[in-house]
Amino acid sequence: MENNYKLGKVEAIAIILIVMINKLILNIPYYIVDLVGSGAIINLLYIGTIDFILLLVIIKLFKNFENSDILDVSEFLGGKILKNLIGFLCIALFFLVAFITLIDFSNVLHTIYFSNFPMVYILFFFILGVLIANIIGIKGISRTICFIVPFAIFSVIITFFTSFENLDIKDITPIIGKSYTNTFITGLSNCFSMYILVIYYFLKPLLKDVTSFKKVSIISFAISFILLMLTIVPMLTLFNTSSNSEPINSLFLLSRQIELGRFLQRIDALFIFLWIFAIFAYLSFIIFMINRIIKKIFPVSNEKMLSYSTCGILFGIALIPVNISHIHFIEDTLYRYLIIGFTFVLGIILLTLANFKKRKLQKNNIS
Amino acid sequence: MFIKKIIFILLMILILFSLTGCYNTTGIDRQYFIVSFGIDLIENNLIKLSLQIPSSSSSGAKSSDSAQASSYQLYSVEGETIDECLSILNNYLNKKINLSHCSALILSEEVAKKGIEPYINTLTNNTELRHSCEIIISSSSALEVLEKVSNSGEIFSARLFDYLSSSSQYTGYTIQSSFGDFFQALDNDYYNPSCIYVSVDKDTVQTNGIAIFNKANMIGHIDVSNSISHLIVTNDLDTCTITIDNPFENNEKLDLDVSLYKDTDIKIDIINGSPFISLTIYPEGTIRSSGSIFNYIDTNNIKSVEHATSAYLEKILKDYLYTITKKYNSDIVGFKGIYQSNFLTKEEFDKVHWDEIFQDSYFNINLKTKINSSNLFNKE
Amino acid sequence: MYIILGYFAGFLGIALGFFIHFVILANQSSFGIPFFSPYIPYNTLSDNNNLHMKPVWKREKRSKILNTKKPQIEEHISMKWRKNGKQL
Repeated sequence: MENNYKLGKVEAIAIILIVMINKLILNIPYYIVDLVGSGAIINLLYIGTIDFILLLVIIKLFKNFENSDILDVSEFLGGKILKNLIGFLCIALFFLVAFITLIDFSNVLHTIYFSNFPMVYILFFFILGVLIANIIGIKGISRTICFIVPFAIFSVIITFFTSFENLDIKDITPIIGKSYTNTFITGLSNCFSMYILVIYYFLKPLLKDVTSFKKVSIISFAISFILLMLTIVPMLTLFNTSSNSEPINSLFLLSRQIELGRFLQRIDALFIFLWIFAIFAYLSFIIFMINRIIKKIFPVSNEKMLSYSTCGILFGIALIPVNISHIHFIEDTLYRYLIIGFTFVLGIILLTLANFKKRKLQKNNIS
Repeated sequence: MFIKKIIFILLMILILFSLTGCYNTTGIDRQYFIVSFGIDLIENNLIKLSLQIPSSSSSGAKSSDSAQASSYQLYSVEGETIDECLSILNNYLNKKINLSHCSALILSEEVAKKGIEPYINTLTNNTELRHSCEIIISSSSALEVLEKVSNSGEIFSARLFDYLSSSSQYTGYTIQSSFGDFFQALDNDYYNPSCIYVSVDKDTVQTNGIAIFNKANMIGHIDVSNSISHLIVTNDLDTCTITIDNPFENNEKLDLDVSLYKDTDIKIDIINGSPFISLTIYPEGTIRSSGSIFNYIDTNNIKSVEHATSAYLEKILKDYLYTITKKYNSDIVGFKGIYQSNFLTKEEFDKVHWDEIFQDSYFNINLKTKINSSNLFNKE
Repeated sequence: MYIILGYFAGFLGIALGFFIHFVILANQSSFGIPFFSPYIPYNTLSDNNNLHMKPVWKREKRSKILNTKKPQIEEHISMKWRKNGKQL
């Protein structure tokens, strides 16, 4: 297993995109549209701008810390104690993200295709794939992600173009949505949709060429934002302000409507296959990140056993008996505010304080 | 090392066998794929579910003597809900019923008038039913429709339902309504659902206009000329044939093929507390036959025909628009959604209380008719 | 293997098998060249190792994966006589 494999530009962009695509595959676009209704387009442009500004701030603040991620920055700021604290927080966050992905998608598969399977079996299959991929290493995972991303993007684009013909002026108006406060103030919590900002805090040391961090982050952010728009706009044909139903998986429902005459119907079966692939790749990457953070906090001698234990913990968490109301609460409330808290509050505070400390040290050195 | 690998593989196989749940899946030969099903209402608030299942060739050879033997079998069962009826039929037929290839859902008018929301909600939650399955309301019972369809001589019944809805492309006498569209219309609150209305006539099933709903309850139906108007207003008209009075000869008729050369413009204002809806329609016509001597090249003649066509279309459009507002109070066009686009927020739009004022709407129709030519002869 | 996986878990099993198979192959390299090059990693794509190759007279650079000292084989326009009347 190669410990020091560095990602190229294309691989890094592909990893960020697979993270975004996985958010689209889960029910996240529905939660965005549910909150703001037909004002989703304006709301997305608004939060896209805010997130882009945040991204530029992160890039600027990371300039003084070459080849460091948020853990190294917190070690610089507060020593090992702060590093361990932030590390545990990050591990908990990644475990939560992986848990939500796993349990949500397994629930979808269980409801739609595998109703006579026990849920444990579906979870076991995902964990097995993730475990084996992590034993093989990040090199295989990142190249697999490079392969999957074009196909996953293709499925999103096809869904968009076929739903676009049903789009009407009635679906996207009133353009502001329910009300100004709802779109611009309450809608601020939709910033959680750009979850990729969390990954940028950890990306720099993984890159082969650290100077390409700015280019990689801006390009991947732009493409992710476009993908999010391409998913949200057709959602408005199905669920606008006045809709009374909540789907189990909104992108799946959209893809069920794709038909080209008699030749192409029920293409959602093919898309599910692609999305299973994407979920495997994404979960493998998340477990890799968790392993990496654990290695930074604790001195680990045997990395293979680490993969076994993290996958085992994830399997154990996923087995906690949850029903759909728990999943809904975790995704809609807990996940939303944790992501916003981490990216907008904690990360920025840590980076700002670290920059101040560095500047102070540099001044002391000069004087 | 080698032994370790062998033990590992054996353990994995053992674990997989113990966790497997795949061996008891239902194969294709254990399922019936139904072509269509119908719901009727009977006494005691029970429903009668009828299914049309293709019969296998062996049973067809045994049972039939005549050349017009049906290759479909019909089964009916009574119950309280759809799923109860399906499980009774699963038991009776010994095979599982699968709705994946269902091409039509037929509801009788009684069921539709009572309210179809429970049935639509049940079927939407079903993972097997397709979005493109057609929904049809019948003036007689659904079982009668299925019997006529089964005995129609058409080898594939699914095509017959397809012909019913696609006939709107060249007759304009009905609309294309799929199950997914119907559910979306039910789910929204800016337009009401509508679907095909059929009636049984001797040995055939024929379209007879559009069934109109107010949310989940059918409140009536509109006839074929109003269906043409509905298609014109909603920009769904491909082509239709209308017969108008010949402006040059009394007691003679003129036939025209009408289509739209531009999308209908709809403008809505609130004047004195009532919606004033102004429609600008762009029909284009080709004269099929006039029945007598006619010079199509003469500009004055063409203009007279244009005026006559406009007068006829205005009459049927006004009839349709006032039917859906004054008589039925059901917005199946989506005027609410069009008016909503004038506002920036839903809060402002809610102050208008559109649902309460819709019935008092009045209309202004501008027709910019263009008659192109006739078909083969320019002068007769 | 895929048949067994498909029997146990339908297309979830097949997707699992395909994913693991792909990860194993992606991790491999033959004589230092990654298995799926030139497509993954993308930067190994060049004139000389692609599904659609350019004509011989248009292949101006050697493959990047060879790490040669002189990557440029020929000048930008090697067939000067094809440029009608232009002095180069």
